[in-house]
Amino acid sequence: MKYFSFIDENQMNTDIENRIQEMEDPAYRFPRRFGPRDYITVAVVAVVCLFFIIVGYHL
Amino acid sequence: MKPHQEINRDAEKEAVFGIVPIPSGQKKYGFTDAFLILSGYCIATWSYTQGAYLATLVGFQQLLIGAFFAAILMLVIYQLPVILSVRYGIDIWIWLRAVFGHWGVKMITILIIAINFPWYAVCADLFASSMMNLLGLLGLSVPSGCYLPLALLCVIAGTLLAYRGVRAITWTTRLLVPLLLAIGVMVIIVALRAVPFDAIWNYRPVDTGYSDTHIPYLISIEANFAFVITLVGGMAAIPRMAKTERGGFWAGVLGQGLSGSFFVVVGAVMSIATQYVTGILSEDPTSMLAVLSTPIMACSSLMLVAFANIGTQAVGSYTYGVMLKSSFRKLDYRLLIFILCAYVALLCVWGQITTYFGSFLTIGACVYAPLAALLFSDFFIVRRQKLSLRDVFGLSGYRGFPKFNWVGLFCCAAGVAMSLLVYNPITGTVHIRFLFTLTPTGCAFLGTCILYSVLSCLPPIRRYILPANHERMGLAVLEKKHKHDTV
Repeated sequence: MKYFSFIDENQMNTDIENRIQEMEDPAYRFPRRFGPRDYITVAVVAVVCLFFIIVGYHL
Repeated sequence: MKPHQEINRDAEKEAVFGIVPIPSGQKKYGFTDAFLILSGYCIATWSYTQGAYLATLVGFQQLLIGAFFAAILMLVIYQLPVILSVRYGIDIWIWLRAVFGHWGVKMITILIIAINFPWYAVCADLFASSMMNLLGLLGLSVPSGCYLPLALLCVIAGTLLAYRGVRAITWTTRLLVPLLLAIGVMVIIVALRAVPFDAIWNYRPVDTGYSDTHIPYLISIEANFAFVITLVGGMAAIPRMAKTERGGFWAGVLGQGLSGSFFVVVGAVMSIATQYVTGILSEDPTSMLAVLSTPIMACSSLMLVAFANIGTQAVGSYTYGVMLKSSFRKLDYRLLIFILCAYVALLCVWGQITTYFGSFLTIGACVYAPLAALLFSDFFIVRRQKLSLRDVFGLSGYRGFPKFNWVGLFCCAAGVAMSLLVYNPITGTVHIRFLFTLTPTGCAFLGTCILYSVLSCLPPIRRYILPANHERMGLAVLEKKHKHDTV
């Protein structure tokens, strides 16, 4: 049984370079970003969870 | 092409797919799709083991709080860097090349797999238990010496499925999630019919072995932190194909924090119900199903549990086989899953994985917590969400990152030490009571974040971590240019 095989590194690197160039294109649209409202939501969720954990500590 | 060559080629394609960036046009998951897939990944029969373990520590009400709120708290923090995976379409292991170095990340990959793969020994243990119970229900007397061969049967059957490659795994996954959901529903129905709800709601463990009643609660919170942080290695696999950062992030948090935690609670309910009826607290759903349900239902449920464990074994072997393939591209996929199979088999022969389940959780978290902390602090504090992709991929003509980033590796080791300084997971001894309130995982996470962030402020270390012009490859510029772009 042959235990060694090869991914074509050059082809993969070419593919990666092409994809990075696609992302550098001015017309490329990144996914909708995590905004201030999202970070606030995360903070609120974290605080609520922490509150209930503390409640549980005193049960 | 011969079948085994085709299977290896498919695994190579999966490995390459796991490496190359996914551009926006190829992203295919909205929040709902990603949530459902990640929920499926989080559900496994080892959730019952976790639930039963928690039931030995705390009452049901505290258990509910820990299973949901502790899980979600840890998830909303450590999963935040997943937004980089959505934004650039890369796995976190690509970013971690900047933290650990190109060879350092391979070393960490092996360490993570070595720590994570014992979960599949838990699966094999549950398979053996379910088969013993099933054979007992059928009136067959099976000697206890058959337990190990049955466990190994699960390992081998799962490996053979994984050996057949991505098509077999795709079908396995399609069957596995509904199977596991069906088992969960059955367990809940049987438990609630057999036991008054008050008995479950007011349940408290008889003797936790700790005079300080807060210690078992903190251990349960630690167990919940550790349980969800074990998923850090694969946290970006699905979100990198999500269409929005918000969707990718919340799919991971809620998939694990709600769906995964629900099944942990199911396991706890099951074990409490079994104790109510038999006097024995069991982590094995098959014991409960055999005791509390009708013979036909018990047999069919046991069969489902048995196949679910084989399926989980197969998916795990495939997933980690491809992960290893990404790091060790020249090795054959079949050899890699054979190595994984041998590792789990050795753990089955040892036979103590469920006995030391709590220790195993915390030992795993000793490494996962610093890993998650380094990713978090590197992304948000050190590199401020900017990374040269050409350097991290080591493309020709670019400086790349070193083979080993000794600062990152040192901080990871320091994080492990912090956790062990606070609590000994083998003996269950609390060394520093004050810091134990933050839990060993919490301490290791916070401590590693602080250590790495502070070190990165020292000029010589900053120059080491951030090569000159590390932002030069355009994506930093793009960040400013496309700041308000949406898809």
